[in-house]
Amino acid sequence: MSLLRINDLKVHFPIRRGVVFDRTIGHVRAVDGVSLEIQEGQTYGLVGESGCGKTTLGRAVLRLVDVTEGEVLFGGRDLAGLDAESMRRERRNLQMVFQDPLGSLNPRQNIGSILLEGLQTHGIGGPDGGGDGPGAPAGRSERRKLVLEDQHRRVVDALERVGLSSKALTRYPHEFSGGQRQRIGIARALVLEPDLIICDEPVSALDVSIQAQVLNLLESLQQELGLTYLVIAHDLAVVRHVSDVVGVMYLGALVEEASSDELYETPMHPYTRSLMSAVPVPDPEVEDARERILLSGDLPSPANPPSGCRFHTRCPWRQEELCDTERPELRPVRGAAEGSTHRVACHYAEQILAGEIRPDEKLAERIVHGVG
Amino acid sequence: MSSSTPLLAVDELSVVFRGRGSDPEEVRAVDGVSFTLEEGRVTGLVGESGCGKSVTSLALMGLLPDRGVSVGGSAVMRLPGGEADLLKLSQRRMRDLRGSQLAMIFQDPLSSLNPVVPIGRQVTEILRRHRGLRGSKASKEAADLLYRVGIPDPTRRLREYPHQLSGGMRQRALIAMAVACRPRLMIADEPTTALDVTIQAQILELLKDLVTEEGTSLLMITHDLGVVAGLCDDINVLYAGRAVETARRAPLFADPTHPYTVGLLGSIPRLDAPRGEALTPIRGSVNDNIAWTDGCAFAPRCDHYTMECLQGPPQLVTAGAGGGAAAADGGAADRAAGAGHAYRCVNPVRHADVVDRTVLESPAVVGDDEEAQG
Repeated sequence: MSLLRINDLKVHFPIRRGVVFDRTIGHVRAVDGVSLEIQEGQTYGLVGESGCGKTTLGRAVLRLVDVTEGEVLFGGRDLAGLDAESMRRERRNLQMVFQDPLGSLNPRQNIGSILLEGLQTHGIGGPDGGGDGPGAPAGRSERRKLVLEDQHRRVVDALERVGLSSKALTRYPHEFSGGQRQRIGIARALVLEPDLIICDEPVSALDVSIQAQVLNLLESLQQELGLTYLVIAHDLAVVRHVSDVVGVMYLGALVEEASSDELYETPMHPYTRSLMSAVPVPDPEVEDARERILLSGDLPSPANPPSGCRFHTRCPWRQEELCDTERPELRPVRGAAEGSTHRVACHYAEQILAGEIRPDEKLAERIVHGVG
Repeated sequence: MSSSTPLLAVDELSVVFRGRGSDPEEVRAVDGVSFTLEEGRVTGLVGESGCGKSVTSLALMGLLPDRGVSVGGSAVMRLPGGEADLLKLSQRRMRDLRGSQLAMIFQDPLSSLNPVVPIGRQVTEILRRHRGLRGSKASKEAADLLYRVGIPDPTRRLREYPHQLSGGMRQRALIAMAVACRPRLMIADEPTTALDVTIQAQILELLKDLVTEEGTSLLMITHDLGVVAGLCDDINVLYAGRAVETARRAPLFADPTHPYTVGLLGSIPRLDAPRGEALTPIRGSVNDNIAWTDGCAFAPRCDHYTMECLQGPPQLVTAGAGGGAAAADGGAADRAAGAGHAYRCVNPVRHADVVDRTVLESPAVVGDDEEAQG
């Protein structure tokens, strides 16, 4: 069953100019028509380079930025249409882990109060699971005490799950190392017992040895608690490692989506192929032997995206006419194996894979063939 | 292609930051690092944050502050006017060398460019200072440089300010400034960390070309073992201010010996690894180390440690001295005296598939001279 379903989501930011008259002179199309589905208990990895709109997409799901158009169906409810108060209540079920663990923790709050805050705002805790309700003990102070005890228990429980002791409760964020801070960020999300956690670059600020600890932690939490993740990252190797399904974004749209193994084995979209060929592998033999597709130039501006296929300005396999004029839909791959969910947004994906279309050597800055 | 003396021989470099006022505790950021750089080769310094890799580069460039820091050891470089120890040269002499003989590329291209000065002036500044070019001659040369590092439409770009360039373009501009006077030695401190992977691939390819075409020696400082695998010829893995393993590229990855190197390699999710394979992270964090004087700094995080590890600082020993697999590989290569594969560990990770490891039982203890040979 799909837990989260996004239908044709668009997030546009207006560009304003003028001192006296605040004119809108255009829009940055950060997310421009993305549809995807996340199954319960799975990890969906969203990968792309900076400026492709992956973070904006994650924030739009939580309504931390305004949705311009489209639907975000979470367990059947459209989050995009909720009013602020209902959305606030709904956020108990959708939590986020941020990239910068120090920047996302208040330096003047101790860990105990950081973790309690969510429980208090959502009124969680107490003998019956909720702050007040039928069946609660009669005495007000007694009830209050039970609530506090229960909240404390939940906080300690969440801390232990992420591998920290209850000694951390009275300490402040600056007293922890980067990896520990990221664990606190994860505990803060966990304490509310959410269904979906959106991890925005959860490990990119950490050292490699710590990265692996946090990735393993996310994985074991998923197994224990049946969590669903939306992992947003720029590191294809990290995304492939943690995800069941991977979506590749380029300039505000998904260009390819497939199961993690399928995407790695047969990347179809030219952008995915060049992205994969650019990820360094810590093995000299692989590095020497492989083909590298170097893209020329930089990402075009999302305020003025290219016509037709967004990638045609940098695509080495670009063909006349169709690529420049018609924007390809994200469509199932033709001739894919039974049960495959591989989708790609390229007019010529199959022909490129079959080798019927040769890359234009001039447009690709260089395709470096392996020497090994 | 290697000559009798290396271009730069760094020997027992140490950098100590003195505490101030009420906190007189010293911090040994770099604690005896030795390596050599040769022309046309790329040497990598790899390690996590806090291992001393950036401080090493700043010390070599003479960019550390005068006060509160003491730099020890030596860094002898072959210069046009004979050999000189970079660490002992006067400020004035270093200023002449920086840019013309030594150049540095920093991690964050936006903060290393002056935001209020056009790119053109920043590039021509170096041409004026070191090559005496002025006016239209200088700007023509600057445009040439930008073109060489792959910036399209260089004359227009020269008039623009850093914020108008994309991240990859800024890094290219910095590289253009670094290569302006054809330095013999370039230091790149995490040059691609702030960039996207596709841009990173472009920049790495550019650096590789510069090394091959110009015969520059490149000191590559990075935390990314993937980048190292693709670019570096010789690799030094640093931990807590000391090299824990040094090797040429192939043996390091095929046969990592120090538990820290093994741990690093096990921590990285690989794009080509079968999915579902669990990562094997290193326990704890960099804060958990002990002083090298008490034993191996890595011992508290190490899975292989024994009481021996805590008895004094471990020495750097050569792997398979006298005919081991790694030494044979080093000897066959173009390096006159193969420094080969060395590690600083008393309980190295042994690979069952490497038979020659038996020679490790009588390791030749190599002291100060281990890198300065040749």
